[in-house]
Amino acid sequence: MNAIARTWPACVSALQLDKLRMGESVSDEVRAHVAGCAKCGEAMKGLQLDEPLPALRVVPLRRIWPRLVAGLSVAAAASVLLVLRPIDGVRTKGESGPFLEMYVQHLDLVRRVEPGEAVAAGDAIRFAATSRVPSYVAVLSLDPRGRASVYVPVTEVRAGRDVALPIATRLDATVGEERIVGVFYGQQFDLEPLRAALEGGNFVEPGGCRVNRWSFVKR
Amino acid sequence: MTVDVERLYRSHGQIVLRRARTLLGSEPDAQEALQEVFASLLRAPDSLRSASSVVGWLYQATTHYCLNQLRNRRTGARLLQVRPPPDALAPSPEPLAEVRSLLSLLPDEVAAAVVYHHLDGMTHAEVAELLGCSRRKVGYLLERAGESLAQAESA
Ligand SMILES: [Zn+2]
Repeated sequence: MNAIARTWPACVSALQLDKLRMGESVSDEVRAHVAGCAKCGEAMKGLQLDEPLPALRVVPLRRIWPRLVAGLSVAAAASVLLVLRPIDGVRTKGESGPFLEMYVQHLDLVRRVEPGEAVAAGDAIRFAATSRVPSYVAVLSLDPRGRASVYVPVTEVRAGRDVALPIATRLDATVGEERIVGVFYGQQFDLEPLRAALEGGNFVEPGGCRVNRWSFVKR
Repeated sequence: MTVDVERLYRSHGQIVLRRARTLLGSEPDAQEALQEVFASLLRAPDSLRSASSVVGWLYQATTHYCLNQLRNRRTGARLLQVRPPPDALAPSPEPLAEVRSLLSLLPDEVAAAVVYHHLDGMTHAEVAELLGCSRRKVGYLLERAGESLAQAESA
């Protein structure tokens, strides 16, 4: 017996029913049939997924990084992969902020970086902040040699979703683990003590601050 | 005309996710398919601009991506010397598992014709439109699929 039998349960194909659901044109014959056929009506209902979709991982370049595109040359083929891994403070689903998200540009595409995703050396990274209130944001990095540097100096960001921070950074190919720390604060703050504390291994979350952290691990 | 991919994702993404679940039988793989199909649209928006139906384009792109994945699984299993799931022997926990395994054996165009006709219930004319070939060729592709599957089953 043939293992592949016609499994579709209705008279009209899934394609026609999806077109009808989505408001695309179908023949009058199909439209009339579906309106009067219980089996096809049932099948059409079954096509509908009532669940929210996850965020689109790749976002159009122009929307997030309007000026960056022109300023960056295309990255050379990367031989080293970086894995982004959340440590703590990473947002959970449904959280309204404030939180920081990281975007990576690989060739001409920008995508939102999810935990555990591979990132290539030579790619450019940029951050976007989401906050219900205006705030001050800075991003620090701790490289594998234990040196802390400022990725994004203290920057005022307006309230909103995915407000891009002005500075982009290219990932180098240094071996080891790199930690990224994003700091939100309600007012202007001095970043140097935080940078020094991160480098000295005694970074603690300052009171009133909201901290997001990630780490990169070379594979 | 520019394609607003994010908007399209929100309105039509469910079609891709639903079909990828059926074709791949794995939630993580279906989620990956959903992202990949829309990423391909960002890379090459012209492919959609020249299509006569958005839904039709999404059917094609999803089918193409998923059939590749099914074939990669088979190749991966072979490379790792993992035994692929027994085809028609053991009672399968899910009826479509067997179909997936069989699809991975067929050439791309033949497998696509099988998916459209048998799983999506399309007429030969509808399949012909999506594959960009004649109805006669669809008949031939489905015949070929039947022969290949009969062979696979008797082997
Ligand atoms: Zn019907």
